[in-house]
Amino acid sequence: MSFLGIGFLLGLVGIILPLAIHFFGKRRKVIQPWGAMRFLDEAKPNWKRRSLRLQDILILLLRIGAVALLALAFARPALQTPLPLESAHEIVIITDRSLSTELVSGVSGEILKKTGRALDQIPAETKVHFYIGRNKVPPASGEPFNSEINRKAWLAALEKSPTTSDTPDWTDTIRLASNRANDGQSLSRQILVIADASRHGWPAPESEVWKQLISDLKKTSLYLAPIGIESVLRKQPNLCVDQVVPGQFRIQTGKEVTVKAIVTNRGTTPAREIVADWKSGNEATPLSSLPIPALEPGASHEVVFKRAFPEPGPVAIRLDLKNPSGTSPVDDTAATVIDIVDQISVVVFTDQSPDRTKASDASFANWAFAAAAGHPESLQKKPISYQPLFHLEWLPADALANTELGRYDVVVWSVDDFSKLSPETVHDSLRQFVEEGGGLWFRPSRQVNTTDYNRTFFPHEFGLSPAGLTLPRDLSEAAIGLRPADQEDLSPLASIAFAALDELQVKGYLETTLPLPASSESLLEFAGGKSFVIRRSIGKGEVILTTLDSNPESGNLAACVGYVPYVREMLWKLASSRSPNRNFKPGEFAINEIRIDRPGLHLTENGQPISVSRIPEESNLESLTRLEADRLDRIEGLELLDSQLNSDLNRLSTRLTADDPSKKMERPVQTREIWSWLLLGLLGFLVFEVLLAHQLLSRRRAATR
Amino acid sequence: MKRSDNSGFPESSKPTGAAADLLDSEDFGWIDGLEFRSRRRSQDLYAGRHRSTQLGGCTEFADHRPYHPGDPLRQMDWRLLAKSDRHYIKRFEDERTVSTLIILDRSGSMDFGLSTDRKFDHALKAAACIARLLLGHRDPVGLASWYENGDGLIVKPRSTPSHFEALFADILSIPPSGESYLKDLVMGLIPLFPQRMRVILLSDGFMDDADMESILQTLTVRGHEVIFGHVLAPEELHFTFSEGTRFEDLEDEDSYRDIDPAVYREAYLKRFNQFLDELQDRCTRLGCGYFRLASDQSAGAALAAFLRRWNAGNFAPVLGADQKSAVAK
Repeated sequence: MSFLGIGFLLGLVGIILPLAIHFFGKRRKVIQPWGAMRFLDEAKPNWKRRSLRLQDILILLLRIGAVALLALAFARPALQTPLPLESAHEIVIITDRSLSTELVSGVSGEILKKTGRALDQIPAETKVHFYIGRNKVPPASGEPFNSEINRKAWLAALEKSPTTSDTPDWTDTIRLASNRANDGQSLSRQILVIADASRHGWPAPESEVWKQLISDLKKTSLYLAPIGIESVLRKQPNLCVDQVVPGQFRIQTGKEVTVKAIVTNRGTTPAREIVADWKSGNEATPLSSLPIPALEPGASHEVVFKRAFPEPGPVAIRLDLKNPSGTSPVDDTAATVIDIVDQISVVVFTDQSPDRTKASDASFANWAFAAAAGHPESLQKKPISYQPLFHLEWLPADALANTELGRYDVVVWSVDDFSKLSPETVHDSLRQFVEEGGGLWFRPSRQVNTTDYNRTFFPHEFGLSPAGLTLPRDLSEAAIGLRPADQEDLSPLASIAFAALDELQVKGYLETTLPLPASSESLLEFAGGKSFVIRRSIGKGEVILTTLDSNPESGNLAACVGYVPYVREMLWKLASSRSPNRNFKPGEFAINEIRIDRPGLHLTENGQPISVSRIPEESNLESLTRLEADRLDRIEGLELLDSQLNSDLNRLSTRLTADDPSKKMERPVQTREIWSWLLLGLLGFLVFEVLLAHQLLSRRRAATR
Repeated sequence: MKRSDNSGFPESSKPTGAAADLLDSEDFGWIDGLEFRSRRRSQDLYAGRHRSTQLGGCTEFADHRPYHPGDPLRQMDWRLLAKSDRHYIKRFEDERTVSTLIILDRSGSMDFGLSTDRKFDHALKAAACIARLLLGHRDPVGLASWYENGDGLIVKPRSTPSHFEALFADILSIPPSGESYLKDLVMGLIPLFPQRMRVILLSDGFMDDADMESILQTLTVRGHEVIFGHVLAPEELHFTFSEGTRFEDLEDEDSYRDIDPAVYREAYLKRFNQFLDELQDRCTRLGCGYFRLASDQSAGAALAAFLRRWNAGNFAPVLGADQKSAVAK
């Protein structure tokens, strides 16, 4: 509704007049000395008083309404009705296929799923432009949407489309898609961007780039369906879901960590310095800076940072570029953090040629990392593109006697020929190393006689037979049981654990040699004092841990670097208030397959999202505060991702079906003045007011007659 | 008696002070020629026009009683002795004066007067009419009210014509105000007037019902003849207000009510008429005379209407002046 004579709206001030008459008129009273006061006090008037008051108020309202209607009528209000359109609206979908979607577990699949569900919501015969979010990639389709044909074709195209290392510049991509889709006929448009959580490619919320984009898309609704993005762009007015880059990468650490990152200069001036802002807990930490050669606009540079954090806890890292003047222009940095790892020192004892193995240094780094995580098998099945950073040393097998193993986290024993070695020396050294918490991986070549290997060397030393264990595949990893705290009749915990293990037909066990944290209690021990069943208080409940062999061909999983952090993360998840299956029945065991093929996000068989990092410190294992649990979920939980996905899709569904966006767009309108209706209403008000006032006066006169 | 005008006073004893203003010829015209008979026998010592409880020298036969030795032989009914050979004394009525005490209510509520005179002024006129009438018949008249501090203002009954001015000399200088001390006044009068007398209360009766009952009962059980002149203003009777009004209590300066009269009128009239009915019933039950002195009517006319009925032996309440007789008058 608009007003052709809006100045007359000032006449609305006139409603003060009846108000003043009503209130000030009431206060003017005749003062009358009176003797028969007691009869006034004892008189009890009936309901007429309220009736008179209501009539007074009604008359007041009528008078106010009459004045307001008069002012509105003079202001000449007009209704604007949109003209019908031939095409209602069109939808543009842009799906992210950048490298970052590959690097994080599950994101790629989620994007596919999300895209599919978005396509499911699109009404038939809606014109849809489907883009794959890479720079300079033409649209996959721009045809009217047919749910049976387009959906399959587009999803297949999306799945087959390889990820690119180039990160899309999302503002340009959105603008490009918008321009291509705009054929000049459609008057309303919705753009849905399905992207992952990476920071790069998105400008800062307050940047001019955003403002310009929003300005360009004035008649377009832009929706972002983010995946795993922590913060949102609340300051963008036209965005339904504002989403942006978390500038921080969170890690858990207790020692020196290394950050490997690719930093891109997206500014207009060369940069000279990369600054890393480390934030650990509440402690203010100084900036670390790394001088670099002149980094021209658009150029990238790979950097590696190292920093020691003696106290365990979360660390936030922010990377920024600085130009020579020391200022930090907005939107000049795109940082891709490839890896954040603990500084894992690995020593490989081998009797093979160092030159030959070093030639495949990269692949060895992969399996060395997997060795630290305890899962070399994963390397064979699916090579990981995730490049961990290791401090890797190669030593001949006979150097073992002269090597201080305590400096290393992992020892890889890749020796086939034992003839030149003293079994006692190997035994003593490795045993001490393992007992001190080190990770040990036996990696004999395929030619070695495993039986002989086991029989002659290890079984009697370590109390286990790595090669000889035969376990059901589904139980080959670990067992974790959670006992709720409110059931006290659990007698004895160890028997429960054993009963469960027996029921599962577990044949062999592997004990951990790690020192127990203070919050743990060893329930059962092997001969020699090594723990087999551990009880640990977590949050409101208790967790019983038993350690099983994870791999019949490998070494001590429980002692490896990656195992303990995994268990800790698992415990945190189980103890989290957000865990749906938090209270297990007595004796019920949560069997989880440990897939430590790489650190990151994992979904357990219980549906519990867990994250695995490689932090050997376990001494700070404490109950999670709610804040910590929320933070953990927010950063690394697939659960969050799922709920966001649903929320976004619901919102999208509402927009696409129930709320026709074409109604919100500007269209040609026809204007119709309605002042005559207001005058008619005014007349009605006046007639009603006169009748009511007359009735009121009559009643008053009758009462005083 | 020589009269200079219709005020009823001889020239020599005509009031000259402030009380002279009360001598309204119109009011006196109504009661001229009337008398104020007593409903009960008088116990006064002085001879007058009212029947006395004593038997004595009047010519009107009363009754016989047996002769006792020592009775004066002059009173022996010789005819009866001749007929029946019995000794009887023949007794005759005696006539004495009747003292009248006019009690004037001068509480704050009597100060009310909107379209008419103040109720107090109207009551004064009625009192003046009564005094003039009774003094003309040589009946003693007194007046009682109270000062501002509640002390009694009492003028003892006298029958001389010049007593009229003394009756109203003090009361005219004190305007009505404050709360009512009527009950205290009446209780204080009881020991002062042990003999039977006529008590005329001129009041609006706006007091506690129990107090009013107590006053009337105290007076009647002691043999006094009580007549209640109910002084009312037409606004009190009809509640003719229409605009929103702040009613300020005349007997309490700090008390007021903000009231829409249209809303309250029906309920007020219902309550007020109930009050009137109860007061009239109370007077009838206790043998008190009642007449209404509405301030929009002539005090003389209302009094004359009452006296006609009263003298005729009709003791029912009189609610207003007899307009027909007034016109005829």
